[in-house]
Amino acid sequence: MISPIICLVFFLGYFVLLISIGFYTSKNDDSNESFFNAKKSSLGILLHLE
Amino acid sequence: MIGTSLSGVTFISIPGVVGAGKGNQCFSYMQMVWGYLIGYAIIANVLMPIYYRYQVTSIYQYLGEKLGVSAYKTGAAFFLISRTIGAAFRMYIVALVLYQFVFIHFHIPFWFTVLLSIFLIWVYTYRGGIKTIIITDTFQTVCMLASVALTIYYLASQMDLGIIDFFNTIFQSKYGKIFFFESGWSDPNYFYKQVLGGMLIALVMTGLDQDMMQKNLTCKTLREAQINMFSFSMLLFIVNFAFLSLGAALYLFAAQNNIAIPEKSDALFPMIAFNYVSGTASILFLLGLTASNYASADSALASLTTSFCIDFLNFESNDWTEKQKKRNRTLVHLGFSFLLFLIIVIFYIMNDDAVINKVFQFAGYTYGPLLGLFAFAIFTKRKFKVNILVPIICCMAPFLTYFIAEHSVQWFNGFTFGNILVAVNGLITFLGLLIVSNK
Repeated sequence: MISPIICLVFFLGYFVLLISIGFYTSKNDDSNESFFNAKKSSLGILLHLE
Repeated sequence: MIGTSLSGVTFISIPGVVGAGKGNQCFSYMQMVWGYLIGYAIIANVLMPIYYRYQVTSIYQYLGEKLGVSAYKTGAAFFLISRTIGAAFRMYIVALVLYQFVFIHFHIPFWFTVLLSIFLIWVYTYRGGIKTIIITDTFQTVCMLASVALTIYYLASQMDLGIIDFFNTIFQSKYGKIFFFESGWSDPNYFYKQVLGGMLIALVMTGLDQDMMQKNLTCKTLREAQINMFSFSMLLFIVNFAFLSLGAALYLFAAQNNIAIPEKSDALFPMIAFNYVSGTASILFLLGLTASNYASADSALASLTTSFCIDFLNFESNDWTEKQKKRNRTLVHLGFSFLLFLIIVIFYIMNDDAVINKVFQFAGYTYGPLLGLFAFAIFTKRKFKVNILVPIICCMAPFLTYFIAEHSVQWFNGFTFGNILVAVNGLITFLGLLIVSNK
């Protein structure tokens, strides 16, 4: 049986990686929009993708 | 779209039901996947052309164009209800697994596990734009699919089987049966019932769902959106097959190693992953489960907030300043986060069945009025005499459907509706709307 501590380390490690990707990408994100603004409508997403 | 469609439900419940001996047993779920394909074809050829023709931002604006404001608001409200319940169920599954296998060992209570899950979504989504969302969701989907593929490979090697022998063993076993023609309509696995149910579920949970459809509507042209839907359908077919293969492998592995099957089918995969295989396989499971959950939960939480802001607070047309909008948006987001937290904790207290069946059961009750409203808008040109009757009918239909479903065994000689219940619900709504409207 795997140790719960190892599980916890990998679980939190996954989020550190995810948050890092999120922050790194947001620096180069020319949409420069908050998550909520970008998601507010299909039209919003369309404009940013274009 | 794959990441959003495949959640913790798919990851745990689908492999679990393969050997549970109830609905979706063996590979019968593939019958339902065939139904999904029919549903997606209808979405691509009927609903998408409508959405593009009306150039809608929210798909419920179509209801407003055809039936008036009351239908628009009712449609959006039912979307909010459906999404809230669906998202809560999905997050509940993952929070429960994390709690039972990880957090309980540190004496962390269940409610805190849920709170942590919601907080982490906030952290990695708060600052990024749409590019960030696409990249993090793609990363999570790749993690989930890699986890499934590697777990299958791992189990096959544990059973001393090559990959071809592995699939041969599965389809020669009692779990390999795909088609159920002989049993009749009272059997939840009956072929036509599964295909019909799958078609309806795809139609309502994808075609009439703003969160799923707005991903398609981002395509510049209708043609591109239809191609996107086609490729999504093909990929989803393969992925579901992989999940069922994984389920059969888990049951065979359990039989080979004399592992007792848990009472709840949802518990099989986590139990084997955390207790009976190597650390690598456990980590693969944990990462796959986490990825599958968060890829769909982040999108759901955001879509709830934004739908409420757009459809009910009229963010696009009111005269609030940007500062006011930001403050209100944050408050709404906090409100939905708290609501999800509350529902998940309630589920934890009252849960007793396989979670996937509950999700579909609830989908039948909350998506039914949406099906009725859209069918009424597409197939009729009638107008309502009294607008307030639209939400009343849409609220009454689920209760009437529940009443019929509860008595169906007694009234229809053992017949249960299963996933077809959404059609009954939709039909009741449609007939109700027909009565209170005129030409």
